[in-house]
Amino acid sequence: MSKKIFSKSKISFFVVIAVILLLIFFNFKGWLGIPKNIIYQASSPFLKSFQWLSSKTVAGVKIFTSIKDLMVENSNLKQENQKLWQENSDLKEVARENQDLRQRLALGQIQGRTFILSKIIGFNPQLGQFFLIDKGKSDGVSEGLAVVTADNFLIGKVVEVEQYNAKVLLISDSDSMVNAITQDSRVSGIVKGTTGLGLDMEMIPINKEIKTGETVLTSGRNDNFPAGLIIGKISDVILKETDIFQKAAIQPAANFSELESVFVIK
Amino acid sequence: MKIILIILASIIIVSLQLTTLARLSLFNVVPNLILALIVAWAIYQKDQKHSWLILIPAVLLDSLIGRPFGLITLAIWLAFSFVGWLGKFLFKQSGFIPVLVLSLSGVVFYELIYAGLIRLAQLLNLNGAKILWADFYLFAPRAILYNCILCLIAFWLIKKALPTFNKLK
Repeated sequence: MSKKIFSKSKISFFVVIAVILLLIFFNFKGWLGIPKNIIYQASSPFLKSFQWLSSKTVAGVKIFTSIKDLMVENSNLKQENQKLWQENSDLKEVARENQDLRQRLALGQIQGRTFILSKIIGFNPQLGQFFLIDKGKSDGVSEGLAVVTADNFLIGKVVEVEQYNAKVLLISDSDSMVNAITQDSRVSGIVKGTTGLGLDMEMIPINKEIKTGETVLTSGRNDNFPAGLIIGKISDVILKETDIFQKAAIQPAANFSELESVFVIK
Repeated sequence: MKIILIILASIIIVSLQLTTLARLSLFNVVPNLILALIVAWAIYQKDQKHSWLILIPAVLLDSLIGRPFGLITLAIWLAFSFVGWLGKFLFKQSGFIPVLVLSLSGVVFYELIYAGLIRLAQLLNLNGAKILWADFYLFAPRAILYNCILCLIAFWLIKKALPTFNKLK
C-alpha cells in the first residue's frame, strides 16, 4: 500500500515538473502573453488597492516616527531653501545665456521626448529588482526605454512588456549597467547595481580625480538612456594602488522603496 | 467553490507580497509570504493531497514578477516536495521541534535551489538571470531567518483555519 502511495506521489511530482518546464518553454516562445495579461487584469485591482493602502499606512506611520527630527530638518531645509533660491536665480541666468548661445549656433531645440506617466503596482527586491508598472504596449511602452521619477532621477529601464503592463529593471539590480559621467569633473564610468539597493560607479581611470558629494548623471553614450538624467551622488571613493581603475560608491538619488509613480521616457 | 476560493486567496496573497510586504523589509530582506505558506502547508498536509494547488500562487507570482519566468514556481515546487518527503519519512511526529526543523529545511532548500536555478539560467544566457554570490551570502541567512519565523506563524494559522475551510463544499 505504502509502495503504491509512494509511486503515485512520485508520478505527480514528475508530472508537475514536466508542466512547469512546458510553461517555461511556452514563455520562451512568447505563447504566454494572453494568460499573463489575464492574470494581470485579475490581479490589477488588488495590486492597486494594496499599493494605495500600504503607501498611506507607511506615510501615517512615518508621521509619528519622524516628529522628533522634524524641527532639525525644518531648520536645515530653510537654510537649503535660501541656498537653492540663490542657485535657481543663477541657473535662470545660465539658461537664458544657453538659449542665446543655441540660437547663435543654430543647434535647434533638444529632441522632444514623450513622458508616459505610470503607476508602480508591484515591487519585490528579493525576487529580482523589478517594478511592475501599469503601462504596456497599448500605451506605447517598449523594451529598453528609460524610467525616471518626476525629478528626473533615473530608476531603471523597461525589460519586459506585456499588453497592459511592463517590468522595469532597477539600476540597483546587479544585471543593470548605465554609462555615466560625473557632473563637475566630467569623468566617465559605468554605474552598476551592488548589494541591496546600492550602486557603484566602476571603470573610472585611476588618474582621474573624483570627489565625494559629486552628482553622477547618465552620459547618454552607447545606451538608450538620454544624457543628463540624475543617478545619484558619490558617497565614497574606493582607490586601490594595485588596480588600474578606481571605484565610487553612489548614493542613489531616488528612494526606490517609496516610489508610487514613474515616467517612461519615449 | 474551494478552487475559486483558492484562486482568489492566491491573487490576494500575491498582491500583498508585491505591495505591502515589499515595504516591510528588515535589513534589506523582504519576507516571502508565498514560500512561508507553501512550506507550512507541506508540513501540515503530510499526505500531500491536491499538491498541484500550490502551483496557483507560485505561477501567479512568477507571471507578475518572475524573471526568467518559471524559476520561482520550480523552486517552490521542489521545496514543497522536499518538505513533504522529509515530513513523511523522517519527522513523522508532530510538535514544535519537528515543525521548526521542517520549516528551516524548507526555507534553506528553497534559497539554495532558487540560487542554483538562477545560476543555471545565467549559464544558459536566459534574460534577466543573474546572481551575485556576495549578495547571496549576505542576504540568504537573513532571508532564511525571516522566512522561517513567517513559516512557523503560517503553520499555526493553517492549523487554526484549515479545519473550517475543509468543511466547505
